[in-house]
Amino acid sequence: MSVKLQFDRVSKSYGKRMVADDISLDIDEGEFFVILGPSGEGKSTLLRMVAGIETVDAGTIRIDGKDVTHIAPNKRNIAMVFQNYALYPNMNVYKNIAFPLKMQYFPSEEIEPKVRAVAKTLGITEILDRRVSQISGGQQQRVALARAIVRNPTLFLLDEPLSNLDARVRFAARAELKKIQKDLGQTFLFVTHDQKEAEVLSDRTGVIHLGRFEQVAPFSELYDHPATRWIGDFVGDVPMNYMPWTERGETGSLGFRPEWAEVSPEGAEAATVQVSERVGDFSYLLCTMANGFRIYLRSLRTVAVGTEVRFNVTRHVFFESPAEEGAPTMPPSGRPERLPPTGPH
Amino acid sequence: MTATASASARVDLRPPAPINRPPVVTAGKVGLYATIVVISLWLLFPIYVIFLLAFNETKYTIFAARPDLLPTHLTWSNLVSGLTNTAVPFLPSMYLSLEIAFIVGALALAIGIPTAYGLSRLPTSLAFGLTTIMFIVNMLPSITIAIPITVPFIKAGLYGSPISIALTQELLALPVTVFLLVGAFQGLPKDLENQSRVDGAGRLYAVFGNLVPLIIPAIVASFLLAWMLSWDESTFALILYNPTTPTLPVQIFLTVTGRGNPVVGVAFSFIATVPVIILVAILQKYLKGEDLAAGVRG
Repeated sequence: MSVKLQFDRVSKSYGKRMVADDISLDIDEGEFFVILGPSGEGKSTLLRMVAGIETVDAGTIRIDGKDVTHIAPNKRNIAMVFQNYALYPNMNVYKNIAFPLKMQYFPSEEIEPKVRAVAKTLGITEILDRRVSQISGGQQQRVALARAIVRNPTLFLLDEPLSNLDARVRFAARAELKKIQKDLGQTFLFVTHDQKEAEVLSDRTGVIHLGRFEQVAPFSELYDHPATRWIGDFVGDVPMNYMPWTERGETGSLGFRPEWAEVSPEGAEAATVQVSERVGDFSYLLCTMANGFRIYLRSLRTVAVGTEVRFNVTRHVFFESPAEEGAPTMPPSGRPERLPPTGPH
Repeated sequence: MTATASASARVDLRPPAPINRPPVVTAGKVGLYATIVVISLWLLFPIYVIFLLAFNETKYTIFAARPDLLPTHLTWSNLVSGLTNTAVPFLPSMYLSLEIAFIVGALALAIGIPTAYGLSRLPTSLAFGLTTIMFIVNMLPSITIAIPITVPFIKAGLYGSPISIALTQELLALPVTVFLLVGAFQGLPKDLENQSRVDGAGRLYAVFGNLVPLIIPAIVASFLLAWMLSWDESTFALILYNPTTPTLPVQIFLTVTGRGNPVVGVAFSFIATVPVIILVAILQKYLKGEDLAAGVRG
């Protein structure tokens, strides 16, 4: 599999703030790669540097092995869907989709069948004559996608294209986007702060934090084997639990997710329930252990506040950094919080 | 994870829906409309006076001790004598003023659009500073500029030519144009230009093909302002004019004061308003923004 897009020691800063700090990353041909991170971590900037609408301070960006770092955006043959869709308000839907072809000097008799074909694929044939102000948000997103697809680029950049949609539309659009990428077989670079999108869409996810990729891996691996405690906290609906731990002579911390602990009367560890919240099939329990550590547990049954529960940790990951009393640490921003902020936030 | 699958779906990033209230007639509304009527009458009164002077017999207006405020003695004779008076050539002045006004308007756009685009892409504080500097000429009295620039104009052989008057008036018109257009460009989402560039447009096409069509109302408004500023301007035109054919405002000024034929001046004043009204009427439909601002969400 060949490398489609390569970041080679790319750096970028705004004043003193590093948004990309010596980033190196290879994205493969045909891969759906998601850049995941909290708001304001420079995810979009990375995408914009690939598009050429943001300058690169240092390093090289290569597309198909060719250095494009200083090439104008219109010479890169990439498609981009912006978060706000950036549809041309003075053109109708048809002209919006036809625009990239027009810019490539396609004759109009070749443009029309291409536009109609992509409109049919995305189910927007009926609205081709409409003004872009007359269509719904979901339709606008499809038009933006159609405009990206129509000239058959090999690299797609998508900047939170689902975040402006209603919850229900977003769910369907997410599934459809994955299907479209599979059908096209082209490389997608997708930026989001929503880990659910990363989980559903990505072949690999890169979690960005402080201008660097904390971890690049398939999403399940981010969840099961977080490389750092920051990832452990950021990925998952509930932050990871930590306890002091020594493994193979090394002192560090043990991290486990609520579902990796089995609540049972025969459990080796004990904790007192502080807060209990029912979410779907489970109760999430914020508990305090005798040693002062706070942890989240998950139970099928509702447990009353103040009760002592016993549990076994069935699975864990080891971190070299020591655990502090009062963990779980503060959940990172940009993620909906599930439990009331009664912990030591 | 399955238990919390809908976690992300709960965050709705859209702004809240607008509140629709049924229309109610209130004291505030009555006051609002009353104010509008008063201000409109205030603004229209001078035009009414011009109309009165032009179409009422002069002995009831300018030559009356107590001018009549009602059109009691309507007549065409003022206009007829004004236009047939060979001592004061009216039509050449009118053509000259029209020519200069269109040069000023066109030049304001030709220079103003690229300048405003450039300024709109600078940091706001820097753009504001530069725009302010452009206004320095407007802050000074015209006469202080007009006299010193006369000499270089004479040397350059421009003295008395329409282009010399247009160029000086441009000093006043351009800052206003740029100021208006910078605001218009800044009001457009930056991503529209980015999208156009990614879609394969060069910078020139992105600006003139994608952005400029979206600010047509501002462009038309700034053209009208530049045009009217020139149409109305008399200081530069008075210093730099060619004695055989001055511009219309200068002609009116000279007629009413020096050459002492107020009737002709009155007629010209009235006719001078006509091109403005025609131009505004023609361009009015472009002044509406319609729904050009839509198409971008969030």
